[in-house]
Amino acid sequence: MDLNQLINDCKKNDRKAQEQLYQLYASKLFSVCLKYSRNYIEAQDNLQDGFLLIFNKIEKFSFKGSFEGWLKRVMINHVLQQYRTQTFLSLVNENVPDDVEIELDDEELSLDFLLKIIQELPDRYRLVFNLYAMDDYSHAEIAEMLSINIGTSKSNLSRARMILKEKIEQYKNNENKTFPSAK
Amino acid sequence: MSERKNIDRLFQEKFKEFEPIPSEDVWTAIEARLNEKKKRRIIPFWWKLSGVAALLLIGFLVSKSINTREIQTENSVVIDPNSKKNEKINGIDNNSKELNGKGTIKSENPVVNQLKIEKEKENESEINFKNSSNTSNKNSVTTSVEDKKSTVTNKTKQLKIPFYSSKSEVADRKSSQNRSLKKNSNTPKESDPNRETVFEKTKNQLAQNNNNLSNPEKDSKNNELSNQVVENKLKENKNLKPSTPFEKKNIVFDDLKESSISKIETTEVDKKVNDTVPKNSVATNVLEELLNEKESKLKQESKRNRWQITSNVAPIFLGSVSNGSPIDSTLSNNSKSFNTNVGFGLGVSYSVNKKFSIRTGLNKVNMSYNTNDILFFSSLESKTLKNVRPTASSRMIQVQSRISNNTSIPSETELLSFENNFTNKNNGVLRQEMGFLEMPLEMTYNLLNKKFGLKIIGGFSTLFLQDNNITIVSNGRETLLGEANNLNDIHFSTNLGLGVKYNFLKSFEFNIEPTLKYQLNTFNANAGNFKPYFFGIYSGVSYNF
Repeated sequence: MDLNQLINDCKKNDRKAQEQLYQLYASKLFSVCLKYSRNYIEAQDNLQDGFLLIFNKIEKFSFKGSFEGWLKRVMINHVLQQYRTQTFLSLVNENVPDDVEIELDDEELSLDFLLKIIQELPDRYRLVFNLYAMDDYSHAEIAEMLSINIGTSKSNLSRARMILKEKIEQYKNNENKTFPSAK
Repeated sequence: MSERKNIDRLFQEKFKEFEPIPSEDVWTAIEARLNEKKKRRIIPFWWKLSGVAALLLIGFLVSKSINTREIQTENSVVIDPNSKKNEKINGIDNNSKELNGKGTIKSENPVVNQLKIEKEKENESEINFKNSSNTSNKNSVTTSVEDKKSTVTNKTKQLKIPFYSSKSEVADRKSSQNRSLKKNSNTPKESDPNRETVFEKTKNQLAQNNNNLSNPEKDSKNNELSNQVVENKLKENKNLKPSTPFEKKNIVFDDLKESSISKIETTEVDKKVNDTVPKNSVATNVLEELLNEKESKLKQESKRNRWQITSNVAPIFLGSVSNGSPIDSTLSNNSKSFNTNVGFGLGVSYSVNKKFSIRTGLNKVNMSYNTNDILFFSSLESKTLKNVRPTASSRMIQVQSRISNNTSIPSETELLSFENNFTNKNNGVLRQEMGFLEMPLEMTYNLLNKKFGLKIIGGFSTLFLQDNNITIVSNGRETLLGEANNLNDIHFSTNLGLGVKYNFLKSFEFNIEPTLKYQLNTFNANAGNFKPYFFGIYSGVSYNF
């Protein structure tokens, strides 16, 4: 079925079309949810509510630009909305090195582990890191989306990278301890 | 193989192909919510309809009561032409409406009576109330004379009722008898017994006055009857104006002549004329009494205690159909304990008929429940529960479930590593309190309505959110965490209950009404599968008026 046709059916609130749309995009959007949320359950909640929002708003989609991009934006905005009510405490030293490089073996790091350490990040670090690193938003955009200033966004990103690096290294050390022969 | 790599790139590459498949539950949940939205749209619509229905019902009742009043007033006006027409056609009017028409009829009496009186005056000889003679023959004759007079007047003026004003039945009988009398004027005996009964009836209906009327010398029924007839006439005579055409008199005169077999005892007539002066007022009183009786009957009917005020107090037991958590999805597996609170209120009910009544009121309902097994601690960053709007002071309190969810992540690791070192975690329970102002709109159906009563109650309530807070309770201490941000300001509940009452005084009764109220849309979103209902045993005293 043609995607545009499917979207139009969804606009008419056709349940079958909605289900089809869900099946098409659920996993892509679920990955967004998982990265932006604290845990699996919350991600599922966000996916569910996000899709409801999408079905609600799909009428406003005007076929300009990619539909997938639109879906992603709606979903991300929805997730951010969940944290917007919360206040963040800026305890962060804003002078952190810009670039964090890490030495690693690709195969060693499972996707589950990476996801886990992302989810473990404090809320705003996680949001900023995801927005900047994964979804290519600029600091200016992030600052506006999260109602923070650009400097804060930058420092949050650095802090997030530091924490992630720390955890990866810690993980590697643990592995080396348990399996010294591996190296 | 290892390489130095920008950490952003690492994550980007890793997650490029990351397309996890969410559990199938998500779609079913979405579908359910989509369907639910449709339902939600229906509920307010239904609600409006019920409002319209209630309005219509009230309107109907009001208009009905107005209409009945109108009919009553119309009667006195309208019946005249009716009775005239009827008499034109039948000479008999058996409309019960005549009862109502009395007043107007009465006003026309004078004309008729006048005829009679003039007859009496001009033709002294014919006035026949012959108390001296006990013979039934004469008696019947005299009455027939009167009847003829009346029929004559009917013909000339089409007015008949004055004689029979007491009751239409009597009028019917009489008029029919009049006819028979006319036809059988030579055989008065035949109609005698009937006549007596008829007159007795009129007598009875005209109430006690008759007793006083009878001449002391004569106790016979005949006398009483004739007295009464005279009385009837004379009562009305008072109102007379001497202005009737002679022709009519002549007609009357002729009729009288025909039947002038009777002896004339003018003295007695005089006596009675004298008698009737005081009695006249009594007679009007009789009519008034009848009217009053009717009015009081009507009042009593309307007085049937349609309204009722009820006060009530109830223990409120909160419950949830399913074990979710409206506060945060991570708490959905924690056990909940529901507290018993007290609700109270006032109600008004209006009984539409003996079986049905509508009622409304205003109740204050508080409810609360505890989410058990939580950990709380102060943290550096505010990471509050999803559906809690924290207060300024509680922002840094983090709450977690002690029960591990099926997440792969144990709760500890959500903290920064150094935070784990100094956070002091406490056990406690999370208490959510909700207070509502409830406005029920219910219908009750009486199964039994004696001294003891049994009724079924069904309806809807609108609940307005009043109190809303979430508190951490630990070791007997409480800390306000904030308020829930997903409670609707207004929500509805469907109510179903059973009521038992006991009348302990005439207009007081004691009620016990166990009622289940299932709440429809307490939470605007993220109810976390928490479907609350509450059960109240409403007991109270109500007053009928």
